[in-house]
Amino acid sequence: MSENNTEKQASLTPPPVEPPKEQTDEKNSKKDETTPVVADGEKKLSNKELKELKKQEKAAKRAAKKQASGISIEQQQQQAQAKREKKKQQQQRELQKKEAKLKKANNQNTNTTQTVKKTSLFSHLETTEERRASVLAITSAVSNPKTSRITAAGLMIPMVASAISGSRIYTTSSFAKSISTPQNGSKSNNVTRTSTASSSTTQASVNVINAAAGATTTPTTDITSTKDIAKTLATISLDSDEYAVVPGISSIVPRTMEQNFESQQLISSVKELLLNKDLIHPAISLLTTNIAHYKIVGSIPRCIAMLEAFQIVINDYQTPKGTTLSRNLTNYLSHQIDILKKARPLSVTMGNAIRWLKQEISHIDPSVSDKVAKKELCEMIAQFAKEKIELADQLIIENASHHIEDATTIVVYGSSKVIADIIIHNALTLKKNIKVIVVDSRPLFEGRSMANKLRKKGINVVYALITSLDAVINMNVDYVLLGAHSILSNGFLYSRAGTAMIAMSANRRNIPVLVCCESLKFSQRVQLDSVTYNELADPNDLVSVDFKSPVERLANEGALLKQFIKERKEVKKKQEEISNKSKGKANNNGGKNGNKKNDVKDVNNNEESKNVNVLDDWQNLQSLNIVNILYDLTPPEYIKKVITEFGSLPPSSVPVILREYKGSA
Amino acid sequence: MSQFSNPSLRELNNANGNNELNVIIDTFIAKLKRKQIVGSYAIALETLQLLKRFTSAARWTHVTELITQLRALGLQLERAQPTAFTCGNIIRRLLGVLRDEMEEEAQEIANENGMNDNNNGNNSSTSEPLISSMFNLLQKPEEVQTVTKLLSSRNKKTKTDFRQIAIQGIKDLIDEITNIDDGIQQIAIDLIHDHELLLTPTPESKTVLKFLIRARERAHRTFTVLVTEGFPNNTDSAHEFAKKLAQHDIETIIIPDSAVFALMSRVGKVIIGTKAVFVNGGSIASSSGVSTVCECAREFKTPVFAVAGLYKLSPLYPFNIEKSVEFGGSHEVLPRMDPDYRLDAVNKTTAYVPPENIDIYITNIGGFAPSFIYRIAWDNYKQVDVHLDNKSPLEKSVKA
Repeated sequence: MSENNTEKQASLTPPPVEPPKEQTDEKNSKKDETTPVVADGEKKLSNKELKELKKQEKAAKRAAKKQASGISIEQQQQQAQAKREKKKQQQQRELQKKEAKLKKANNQNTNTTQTVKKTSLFSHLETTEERRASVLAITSAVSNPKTSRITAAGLMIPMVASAISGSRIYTTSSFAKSISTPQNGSKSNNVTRTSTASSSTTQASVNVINAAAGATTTPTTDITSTKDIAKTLATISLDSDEYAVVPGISSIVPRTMEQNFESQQLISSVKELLLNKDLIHPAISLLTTNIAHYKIVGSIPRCIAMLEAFQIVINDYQTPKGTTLSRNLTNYLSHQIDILKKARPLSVTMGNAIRWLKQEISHIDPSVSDKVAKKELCEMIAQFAKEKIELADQLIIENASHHIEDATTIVVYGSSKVIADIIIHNALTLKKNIKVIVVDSRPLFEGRSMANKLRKKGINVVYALITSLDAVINMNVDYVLLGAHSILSNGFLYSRAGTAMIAMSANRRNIPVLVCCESLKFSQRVQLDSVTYNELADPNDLVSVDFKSPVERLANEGALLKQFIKERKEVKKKQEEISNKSKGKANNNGGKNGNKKNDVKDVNNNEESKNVNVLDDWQNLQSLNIVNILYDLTPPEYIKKVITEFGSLPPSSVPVILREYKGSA
Repeated sequence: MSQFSNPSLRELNNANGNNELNVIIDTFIAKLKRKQIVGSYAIALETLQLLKRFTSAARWTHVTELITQLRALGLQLERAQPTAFTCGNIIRRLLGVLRDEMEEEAQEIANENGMNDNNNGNNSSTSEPLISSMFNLLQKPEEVQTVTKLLSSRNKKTKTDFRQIAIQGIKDLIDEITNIDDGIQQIAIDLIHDHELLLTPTPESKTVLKFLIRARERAHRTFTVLVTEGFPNNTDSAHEFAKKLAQHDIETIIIPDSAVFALMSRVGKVIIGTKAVFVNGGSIASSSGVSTVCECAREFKTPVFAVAGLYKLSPLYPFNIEKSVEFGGSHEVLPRMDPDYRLDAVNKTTAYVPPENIDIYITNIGGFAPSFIYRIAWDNYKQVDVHLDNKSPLEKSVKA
């Protein structure tokens, strides 16, 4: 948005500048006529000489006219002087313009790389960066008021938003406790909104950062006085340098992220969300960050977390005057869902649950009091979760246990709660001798938790990555058990990327592939290949070659923060170099200092080199892209059986279930 | 231990005062075992250097002795690092050169000896030792015939300087190996079209890299390359590979290994580099996950072409795949493990791609279907040298 403003300013300035430019051209010729050209003219070719002469003549005539009109030579000289000055100014202005243009061009360059960074293959999908940018903007505006930030000057200054709001601490009962960071109230943010629009957006992107960067600072609860507010506001305007996303903001939003704010689409969507930001419940914004950071992964956990958050939201909900709960609550919830979508696209389970919930809300009798209705809704949600997930899982475990014989080897992929439960149930309660091969993949490494979970129950576990699949699948495997994100109504299994490969490998070796999933995961959607619809995860997760999953990495060091620090370092280096140069000119003693500094730099470089990855600067390489897709589609012919709470069925029967049990699903 | 498993060569060298040679061989073997020489290209060149010194330092009275010594060396190297197939290939190639020369000489001798052997002489010059027909199958191997002839002429001074021939053969091999890319590139470029989406699961292959860059720069093709990461063993090289491609203005996309199936429907061709190619047309790729990628490609009917220099062709048959595939340490896969709950972790570092999952091999001498690879192998190797631990008829007859 800032770009818009600056562009406007830029576009405003040129018009008054340009008209005089033409004049100056004339003046140029006039000025030239006075001294230098004549001297040069003699050396030049006759044609040119002629032209010059003509010019001189004309100029002389003009001068004569001017003189005739009563302007003395002195005055003329004065005028010429003034013109020269003007011209200088003009030149300066032009220089500035050029610089601005250069800057713009640079920005545009980076922009183009940014747009190119969307692979042609997946250009139709929303990238994580885009999602994150909007989440940043919103979460910052909404929540996390009590956070420090790093300004351009490198100082930690309490947020304006925090100063204004943040008196109320809102801890969502059980939900917030499960996640370490307490949530501060956001409703008082109205105040910030009243302060200029630009500053509110500013704070938005400022706050953001700590949310996104994972640098969760310890929230303090003391209310800062209005003086502090004034101070912070002042610093904010001071900080308005090139780092500002919106004039008046400085933030640790790295530049690569800033560019996202330039896409019109994103701005409009963010604007829309920001308009409704007061409606967003803290429980939802907390959930949003957790989902965005893969702290909550898996379609079922996400669905449960969402339902829990909705319970809180509904509890806190108060029907505005003039409407009824059954009419307004759906609307209110869809605002929450809009935000939730920005964390990651909604899972099919979430979508199904939302659809169900909205239907239930619309069925509420308007004559029932809000309190009763809210209570009823919460109970219904709890029941829904229990029925559709908990009990369904139990039934699936029961159904699947019939298929698992004693002394079998089972291949599982990634992490699935149902499958872990099935294996544990069979190994521990039914005393079957089971060997489990957990296949895992980068970058999420979900299989590790699965392997640990099973291993801790005393089950024989082999862990392998998907690259070793061919070795693993030849180990006398009896079954492949797969979890699902969803099953589409044309029988395709939509699940974590890599699932299809395992199903294919197993199918080629005549190993039965069983998919265990709740009917909640059945989707009306049809899809033919994994490219048309998918979820793009953060490509930076693939950049560092280590064994950390993104969750660990985000917890340790915020990717954004890192990038910001890097950018700042570069700028500082440049500044240092410049200052060193000037110092070097000033006094020779600077040399010693410089040496010391260099030593320090070397040490830093050494430290850095440990964490350097080959692709750290991949954003700068135009033709390099990283695609990190989260899901793939497994064709139904690879799947022998789908085990659901309704029993076992072939993948082709998914639409049947959807139709027959639509009332309950 | 393998050094001692074949004491004859060692003792022979010692006896000949060639202790130095033993040291060189030992250091080479140690390097192989410690995997200090990586990549079949490097191994091939190093082996050739070793052979150069070996042939110039070795002492023998007759070529047959040199051949025996070379076989012993080959066996020693093969035992030291069974998965470094190139060592064996190179030595077998050299043996083939020597044997060819021997045959020629035998023929000359036969010609000198008179017209009786003329028929035989013609035979040996035209036909390969390869069993090309059922009739030949029942025939007595020619080798023995020539050997007997040779033996008869053993005491005669050989005309040809075999040391010179061996060293020339080594030089030719070095030339061939260093110039391998040109031959491959010329053929391979014709196999990709403009705006094609390629996928390569073997980012450490220099042949693939050079070929892609050349296709971009010389043939001016625009194409996109998908590079799989090959986690955990090849991720760094994959990233470097992708970076190099991108620096040469080739659209490059890095994808996690798990996304191969998802994207395979879009891929036009899969290019793989190889570490060794067996006579059955199967190959060993130096990156894990390649076999699954090729399986995916087969499932989507996407053509897979493998690029391989001739020196990677091995006359061996992969009867036991497990033996020819390498496994790495588990810490690469699972860096941290709960000490109370240990679990097995599998880390495959190389992969065997069966011939049915490869459509074509591009070598520096042309493109071949996997089913035809065996013919190319027998053009360059002698059947007797396939198993270095077997006593060849030559040696048997020499002993007898």
